[in-house]
Amino acid sequence: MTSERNVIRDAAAQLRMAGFSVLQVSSTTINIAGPPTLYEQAFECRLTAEERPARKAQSPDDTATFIECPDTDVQGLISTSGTAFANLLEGVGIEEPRYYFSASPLPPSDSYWRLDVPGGVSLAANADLAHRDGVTGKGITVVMTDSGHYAHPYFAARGYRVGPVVLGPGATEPERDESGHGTAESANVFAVAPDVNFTMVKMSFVNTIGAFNAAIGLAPDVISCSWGSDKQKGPLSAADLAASAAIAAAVAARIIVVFSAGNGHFGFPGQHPDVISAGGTYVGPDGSLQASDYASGFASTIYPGRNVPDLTGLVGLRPRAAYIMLPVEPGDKLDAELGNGKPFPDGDQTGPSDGWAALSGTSAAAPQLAAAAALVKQTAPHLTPAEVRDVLRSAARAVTAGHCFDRPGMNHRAGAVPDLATGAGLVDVHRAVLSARLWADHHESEAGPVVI
Amino acid sequence: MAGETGKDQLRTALVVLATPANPAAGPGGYTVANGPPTVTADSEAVRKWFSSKGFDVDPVVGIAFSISGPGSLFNRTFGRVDPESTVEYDQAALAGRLDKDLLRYVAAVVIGPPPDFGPGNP
Repeated sequence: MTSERNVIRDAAAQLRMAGFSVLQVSSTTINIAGPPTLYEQAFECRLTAEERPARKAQSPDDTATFIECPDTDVQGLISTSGTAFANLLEGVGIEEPRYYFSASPLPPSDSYWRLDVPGGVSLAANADLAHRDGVTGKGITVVMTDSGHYAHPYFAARGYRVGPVVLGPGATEPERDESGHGTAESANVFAVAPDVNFTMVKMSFVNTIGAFNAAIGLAPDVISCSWGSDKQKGPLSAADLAASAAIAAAVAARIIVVFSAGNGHFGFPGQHPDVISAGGTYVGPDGSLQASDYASGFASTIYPGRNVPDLTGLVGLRPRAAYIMLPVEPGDKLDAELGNGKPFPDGDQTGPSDGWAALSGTSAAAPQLAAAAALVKQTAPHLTPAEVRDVLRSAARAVTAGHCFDRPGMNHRAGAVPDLATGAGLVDVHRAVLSARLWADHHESEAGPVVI
Repeated sequence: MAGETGKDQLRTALVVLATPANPAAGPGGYTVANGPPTVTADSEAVRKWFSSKGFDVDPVVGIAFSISGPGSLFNRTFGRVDPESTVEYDQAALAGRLDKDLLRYVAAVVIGPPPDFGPGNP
């Protein structure tokens, strides 16, 4: 109920006369400030301080000081009954401590070598020069199937185009990313292709193929998948056959499909012949390149003649590949696991609920390559998925040091490319865009001039 | 990442349709983009059957489609299964559960395992 204007005016005047500072007057409330003794004197009450559990921005287990009036039953309420203000004020509400729950859009600093998004990843993938050329992924749609996407301030602060989360079969809570994986890896997309239109399909982990099929239904230009299973030998299971057919259908429909090669896994679908298979290269503080010992490299026995990976993105080293500082939902699984209080490399030296985590693996490489493919597609829209892969491979930077994951059937040393450690090498986005431009020019000259 | 619908947990499965031998198959005899998948199934009849039972039914992609619904519906249709377990019902296991006229069109119903790497295992 709105108070009469003259009552509000009289109440504000009387509060000032009592010694309060009147900060704001609205049609229903008057915002005041003053020392505790003034409240006790003016409203004939007692005030006490209470420590109560409170969740603050960076620490889940904490307390905060609440001011209370024990003379009333309602928390934070001072009664004016029987005081000089009884006819003017219905009561006085004491403000409570409040905190920002969202994470900072800026990553925390730390003392070990790692890459940030977008700058570090963009620079190491040589995407900055493509961006300066105006090739940023605009008009290209990238869909990722993963654990979900949390609206971290990082994305909004940079103006990235993140569409509403689409729920895959069996998935729920579109606003949550309980794992943090999808939110984190999506930042790799924007680091390389800042202007793409991005959609996350949140998947149920027991029906990943269903989520992939939902992604196909959105008819994007590129689908990025940072997951898979360990399949060294055939035959493929019924679910794998379904995945294989879905990928074939997507690529036949000219959708570029990128899968992680695996982190020591014989990754499937990362070894499917139609996908761009993403392995790992580590860029050191001096700019040197070496094959990541965290990433898979192998010759597929399921698909004879298929070597994995096709090329690589940026991936850290064992034991945890804590390499790229990425935004996550504060307090989610990744945030808590990696912010474990242990020093690098066993932890990432961030807080367990600060909304940032350092990770990579071929889960990071796949969205980087997906974004690189988006820039190629923007430059040469007529390229087929296989041609986009050829362009990326031909433009890659050779990696001749290090070896991939050490396990029987892997542990291949990097050497003359293409090899089984890094495929064609590390993605070079600028060179790939230049190659795509040459291809497009050639295509147009063969097809005749384009009339606009 | 199954959710809750009241006390009845939302569940999902993949219905894999029977396929003929693919003469255009790629390396290893498996389907690739150059030999797009085909199904022998009357896929619409299979989808309608699941829909008539109360499942949410997704479109066919490749050789499969997804079904979703409350856990109680899955239990009535397939028998009681631990929501966390991985299950693959082949044609023999589906006998008596699916309409017998449709059985030959369905290769398997799969409640798959979570990924070995990716979400949960970066």
